[in-house]
Amino acid sequence: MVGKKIICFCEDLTEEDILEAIRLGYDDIETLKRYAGFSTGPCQGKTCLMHVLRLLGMEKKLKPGQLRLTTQRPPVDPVRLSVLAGEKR
Amino acid sequence: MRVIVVGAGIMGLSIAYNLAVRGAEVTVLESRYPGSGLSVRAIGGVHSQWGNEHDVSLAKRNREALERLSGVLEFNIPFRQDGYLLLATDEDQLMQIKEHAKVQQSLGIETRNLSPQEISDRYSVLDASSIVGGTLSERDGSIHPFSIVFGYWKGLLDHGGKLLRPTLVKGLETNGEQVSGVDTDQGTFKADAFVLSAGVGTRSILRSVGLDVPTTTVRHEMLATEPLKFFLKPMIELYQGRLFINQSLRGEIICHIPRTDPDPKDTRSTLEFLEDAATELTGYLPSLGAAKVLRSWAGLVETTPNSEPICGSTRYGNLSVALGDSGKGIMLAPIIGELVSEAIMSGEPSADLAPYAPSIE
Repeated sequence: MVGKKIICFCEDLTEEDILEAIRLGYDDIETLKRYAGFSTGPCQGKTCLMHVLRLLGMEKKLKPGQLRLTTQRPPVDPVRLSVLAGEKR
Repeated sequence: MRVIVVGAGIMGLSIAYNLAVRGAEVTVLESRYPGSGLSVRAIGGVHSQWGNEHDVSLAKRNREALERLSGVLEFNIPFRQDGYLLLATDEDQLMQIKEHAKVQQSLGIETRNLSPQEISDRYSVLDASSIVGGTLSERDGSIHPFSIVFGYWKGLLDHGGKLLRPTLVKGLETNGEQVSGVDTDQGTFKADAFVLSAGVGTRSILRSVGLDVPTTTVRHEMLATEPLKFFLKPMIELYQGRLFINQSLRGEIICHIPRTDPDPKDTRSTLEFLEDAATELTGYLPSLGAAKVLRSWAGLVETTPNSEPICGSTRYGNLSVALGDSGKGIMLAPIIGELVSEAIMSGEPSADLAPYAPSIE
């Protein structure tokens, strides 16, 4: 573990994993997300997305205004299926 | 031959890759990012359980192509062949899937009929109390949608092709008999042949040269739960294409339902879908009540009147289209890519494309 910089705890991705993906050509936030898998685990991007945007901005020499977020998907926090099924079930 | 492909979805990328393999100089124009329309929103079901010989024989070739695809493209494309289970909840549905199964069996597909008892015995997690029967094709299953998009993208680049993004196509230019160029926000691109496979964007591009296709747009919604220990083997389809349930390789339970709102425009998720999907999931898989939904998303699907794709050339001889696959893109892309590229390069596709010929006016 020494020296590893963890970017995404849900999917176990390091800074080096993200940089390698960007260098392979997955260099916009939407393709990078789908190649690497960050922002799709239980945190839904709340812990990882800002770190990835920082790396993408540095690697591609983009200004903050040129970086875009991925589409945020509902629900904001995980919800049990039994709650959503509610009275119907 | 120089070819321009509009749209880097699974269909456009497969066609582009297959053209590049056959020696064409290919450029793909993509308005957003590869797969951004429907391909990266799909849940990846792949099956051979169609009802006519043409579709089944293509599905068979397609499955063989998918089995080889990771090796061919030198890219890891997980294709899980844990079965595809069609379940019937009334006698009409059951009669139809059994009729279809006969067609599949006559062409060497392993489809077999299952009684409600056999379904309960095989899949104890499933509440089969409302099921009257089903058909199972054990070598079908699901494929990881992002990897197939990325795999073809890599294959295209490996064979000298280009993918330009973001490049927004505004329309086509013609000299009356042939298409001469593509007008984009990055300038005009000239080529010898053109392929339109831009999903919901295709129709407005066709209209720029006076063509139209009889497609309608349907909004589909999907959800994923948190990853769970692996417990659900086959991909399940119910109500004749109106409910799909799969456990992904990451362990998430994925549920997909086509919606019925007329003339959909946007891809926002709705609470109504979450409630409907949760009701269906906890009904058929009662142990799922405590599983949490992580996210939901939506996509727009171009559907045709007969739910068959529209593929082939138009009255402009050097303009081909591939669209309206009605959500079958992921499961047909390898074979349609081969056939459309063969038609463009030699005029002789290795299987008949005529049943999918464009009804374009």
